[in-house]
Amino acid sequence: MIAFYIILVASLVAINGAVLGSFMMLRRMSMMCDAIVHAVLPGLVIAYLITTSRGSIAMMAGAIGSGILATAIIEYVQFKIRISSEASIGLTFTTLFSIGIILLARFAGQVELDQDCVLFGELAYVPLDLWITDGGTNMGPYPVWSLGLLTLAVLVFTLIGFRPLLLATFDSQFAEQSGTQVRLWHYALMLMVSLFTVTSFHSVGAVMVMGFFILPPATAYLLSKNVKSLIALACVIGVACVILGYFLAFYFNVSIAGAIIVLNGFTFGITAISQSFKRIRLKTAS
Amino acid sequence: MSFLLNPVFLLVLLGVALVTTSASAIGCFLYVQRNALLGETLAHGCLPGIYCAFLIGGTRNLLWLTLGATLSGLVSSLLVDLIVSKTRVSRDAGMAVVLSSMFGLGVVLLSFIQQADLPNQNGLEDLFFGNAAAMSKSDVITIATLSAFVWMTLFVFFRKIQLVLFDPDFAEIQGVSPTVFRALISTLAAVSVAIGIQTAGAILMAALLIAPAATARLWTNRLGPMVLLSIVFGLIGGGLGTLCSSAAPKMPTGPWVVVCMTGLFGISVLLSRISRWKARLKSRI
Repeated sequence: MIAFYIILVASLVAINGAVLGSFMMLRRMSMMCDAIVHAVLPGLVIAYLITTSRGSIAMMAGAIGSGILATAIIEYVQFKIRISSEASIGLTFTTLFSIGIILLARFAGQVELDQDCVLFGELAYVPLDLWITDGGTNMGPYPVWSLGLLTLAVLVFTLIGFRPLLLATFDSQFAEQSGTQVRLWHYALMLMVSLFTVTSFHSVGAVMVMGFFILPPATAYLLSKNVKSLIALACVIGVACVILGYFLAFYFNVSIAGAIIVLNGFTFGITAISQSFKRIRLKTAS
Repeated sequence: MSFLLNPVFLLVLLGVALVTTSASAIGCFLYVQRNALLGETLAHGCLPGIYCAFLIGGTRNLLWLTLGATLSGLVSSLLVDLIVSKTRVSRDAGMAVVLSSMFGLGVVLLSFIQQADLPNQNGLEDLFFGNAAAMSKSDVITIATLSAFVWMTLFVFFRKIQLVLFDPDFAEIQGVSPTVFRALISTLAAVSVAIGIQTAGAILMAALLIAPAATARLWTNRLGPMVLLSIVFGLIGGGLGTLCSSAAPKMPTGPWVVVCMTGLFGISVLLSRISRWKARLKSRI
């Protein structure tokens, strides 16, 4: 049952990450994922310090607030102060993350979050984080429920936003002329990314979430020819790596989230190498 | 304020100053190359190298760990270039792929070291956020040697690097190979990041390369003055950050240095705004 819960939670993280990450990668905003993943921390800590309850709505609001704030600051620095885009990303998220870490260090002991949790998450402790109702019924681990809800939200978001997002990604001028709110969808995507980060970081850690975002879509991108197959393939690769990675981590007794990410990276490497070999073979054959 | 004269504190301050000078100098070149986030890739890419070096050597000697860090940083930057040139993945996705995989590998190696219960592994987990207070005299000597190497190389090849950055075609005709000097910039960046990991931490090291360079860019349009200004801003930010973090117990150094550097950036933005308003008012009168 323990293995089942861990794999279930990690798979939910992988699926949500693969869907949102595919959109982010197509919009050439992979490094924005890195930025948001770091930038939700101060909002999270401040919300926690105000409400002192973990897993509350306030914490989610805090994380989403600082994720959106980071997006806005990055755009402001990039377009109003005219600093190049990658520098504005680097400047913004490191500062927000630093503020979060300073707050954590200052209020250490009052906050249930510690630096290890922020970095690595506690995938192995997922089965212990049980939700027991007032009646005493055991409803299973908390993260399963929160990630389940998140999956629903991501599903609804993808169904509604699939066409406008793709339009905004591939031809933003046409999208604007045909009445799509490009900026609204941009911020909606950022909101979903922040929501995803805050829901999954207790399980896999804020910095590790990044790998779940980036790696499966990048591998799928090498193999697929249209967006639907890209997203589907990214989900399949993500879940496959979770299952294999769990057993590898179990066998070698190392960090589970880390093993999943390394396996994902390995898959990307193998795919890239085999693709370029195929291209060479095609070239010599022709 | 008696801790200001404490020799341990002075040593730490010296170490931080050395780290920030080389990082902020090389940061300008990355900034001009529009490659500022390479620092992030290098900093995350350093981690597996550091842990491998520890596993092989069994010591926490900074020179040895820095060697591992530099090598694996270079491997990451090569991997990014390889992914961008050989696959259809874009540059930012390539960087994100490499940095998250390397970070994952680092975490796996760290968890392996921790469960293997090897001797003198204390402080290895400090590498994520940095703990300058743990710096010893030999560490500072290592840092000083390596950052002197970075400055000397930058100083000697400044003209050629400038040529390659701004006009690679002309440089090629002049017999200055752009490939070689781009590789040189990446190598120097990897060395600067590697010596800073212990001070600023793998997660925030990128800011030490970006923030002073971006601040300096607001003040000048020329590369030479930009590098000098960037070093000055880096030193001020680094010094202030070290002061703040040592004023309270158990405060990590890296975050404070980053916040102070961004503070300088914010002040520079304000000043440039004010001067622009003044100029506009004058032109109206």
